[in-house]
Amino acid sequence: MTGAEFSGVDIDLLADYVGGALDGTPDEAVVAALIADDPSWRDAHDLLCGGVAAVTTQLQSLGSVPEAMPADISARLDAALAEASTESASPLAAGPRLAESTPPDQGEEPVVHNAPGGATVIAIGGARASGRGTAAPDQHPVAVPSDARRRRMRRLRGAAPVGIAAGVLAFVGFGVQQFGGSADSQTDSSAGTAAEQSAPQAATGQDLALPGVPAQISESGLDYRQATLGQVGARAMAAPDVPEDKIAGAPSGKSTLGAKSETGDALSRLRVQQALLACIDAIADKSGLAPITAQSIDFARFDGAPAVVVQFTARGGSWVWAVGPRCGTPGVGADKLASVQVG
Amino acid sequence: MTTGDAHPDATGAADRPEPTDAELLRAHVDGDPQAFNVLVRRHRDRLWAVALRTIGDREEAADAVQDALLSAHRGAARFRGDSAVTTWLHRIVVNACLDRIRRRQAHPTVPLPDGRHSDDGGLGGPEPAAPAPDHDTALVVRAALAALPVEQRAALVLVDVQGYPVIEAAEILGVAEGTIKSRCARGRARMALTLGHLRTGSDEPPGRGDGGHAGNRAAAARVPSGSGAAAQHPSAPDRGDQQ
Repeated sequence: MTGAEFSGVDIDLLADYVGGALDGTPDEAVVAALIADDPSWRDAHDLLCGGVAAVTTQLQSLGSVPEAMPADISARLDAALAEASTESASPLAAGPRLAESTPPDQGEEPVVHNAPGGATVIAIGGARASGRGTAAPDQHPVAVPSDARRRRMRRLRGAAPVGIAAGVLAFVGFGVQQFGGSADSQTDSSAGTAAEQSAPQAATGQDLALPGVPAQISESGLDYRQATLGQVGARAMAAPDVPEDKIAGAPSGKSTLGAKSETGDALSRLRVQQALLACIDAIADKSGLAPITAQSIDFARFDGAPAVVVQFTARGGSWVWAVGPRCGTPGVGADKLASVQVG
Repeated sequence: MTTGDAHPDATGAADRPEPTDAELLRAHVDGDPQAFNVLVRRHRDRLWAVALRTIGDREEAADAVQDALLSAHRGAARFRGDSAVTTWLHRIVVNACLDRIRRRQAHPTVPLPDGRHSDDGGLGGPEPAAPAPDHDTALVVRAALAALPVEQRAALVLVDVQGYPVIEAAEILGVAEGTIKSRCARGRARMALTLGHLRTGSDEPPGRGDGGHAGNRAAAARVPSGSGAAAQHPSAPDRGDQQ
């Protein structure tokens, strides 16, 4: 058959028919009628059936050859898993243990742990925050990087963008290990992405060391305005960084921990994984852009009030939303303060 | 063939001396330092085969599998048993591969002298697989497979090469069964064109190994090269109406 002979035949449609993708659909009868009535369709069908059968046989032949994991790669994998097991066994490397280590009398005051690798873990007094007396999945703290690591983290993220579709949002990825300075941080983030896509049920994830965070979570304490909100996208997407002092209202020279203390109380609820997930979901719902992929989350301020600034991508572009402390709570929605499209 | 047939997850524990996959995963979450390794050893060959045949490069496949399994190791507590453990592991591995392929497509690398990396994210050269019965044919088939859009390639690797049922491939790739059928069907048709299976006796044979099919250019042009092929179809398998 030549190209001319194929003309007039929609090979996509015919392939779908041959492959059973049209079974039970109205198009099945349409294509069947074309094959019955139109010689060109009939010839194409006969030829395609034979060709597809030949390809299937060839692919099955490929699969019939055993493909065991090579010994060197097995050894490498075993070593990596052994290292991961060791890391997860360390006291700071277990999320639940970290939560349990929070003294019960800490209330909702953030407890700052200096995790290995420079990440700062803010453990919220889970019991009061959620109204329950024991650590629970929704009380896992969210980790934010210390200033010392923030610049490096941006570079990493710029090299290997990480995102989470809110519909399949999962807390994995940028944990202590990722900030730990290992040479394979970039690939870890990639795996985080894969796991996120692979675990749509993972919204209550307990990601060991630090409950993983979608993309980049920071605690800049910056005071954004409508006019400067769009710079979040630039900060998040571009590496090297847009200096913080270029952001209007940025408390230049202010320590991260100081910023935390200012925004901490009002935003403490959103430092709990499930609350933050609910907030992202609320943004997805309210924006009408679902599914969205969070690129960065900044515990900051907007027009002087505590706010979480979320930069996300969705089909058709990239946006930055500033939301208030009640984001994601029932009946409130996203508690939207402002938004801007940045891409 | 299913990914979980050798080690059912939820049943038969009492009848088996070995723990099920789900039991191993639970033990890992509970702190057993060996449980995850046992689980990986059970399935690593199949995961490796899927990764290698999807990504087409030994080192890339090794990195993808390692990244994926480390991610699964860290995130095991999130597994809720909605699917078989092996399906979950496959999903993570395949997604890690697809991430790498797409990243490679977005950031093309300079091809190495041995041609192991190609800008289209596919095979730039033969994967270092075990020799096939007909090595030359296997090379050509691999090249044709590698030239497919990544979604079609992943579906065909799972269904035709690895032999997973369509329903399981759908679960692994997170799409409807109809979408898997469509991706496989269009991928096979495209490969049939590339491999010269759609030629009649009067056609000139295509250049061997170069994917040439000059006599079918018009037809080839009708086979979608984009990932959205299935979505364009009036039956719209992506809508899930095939399930």
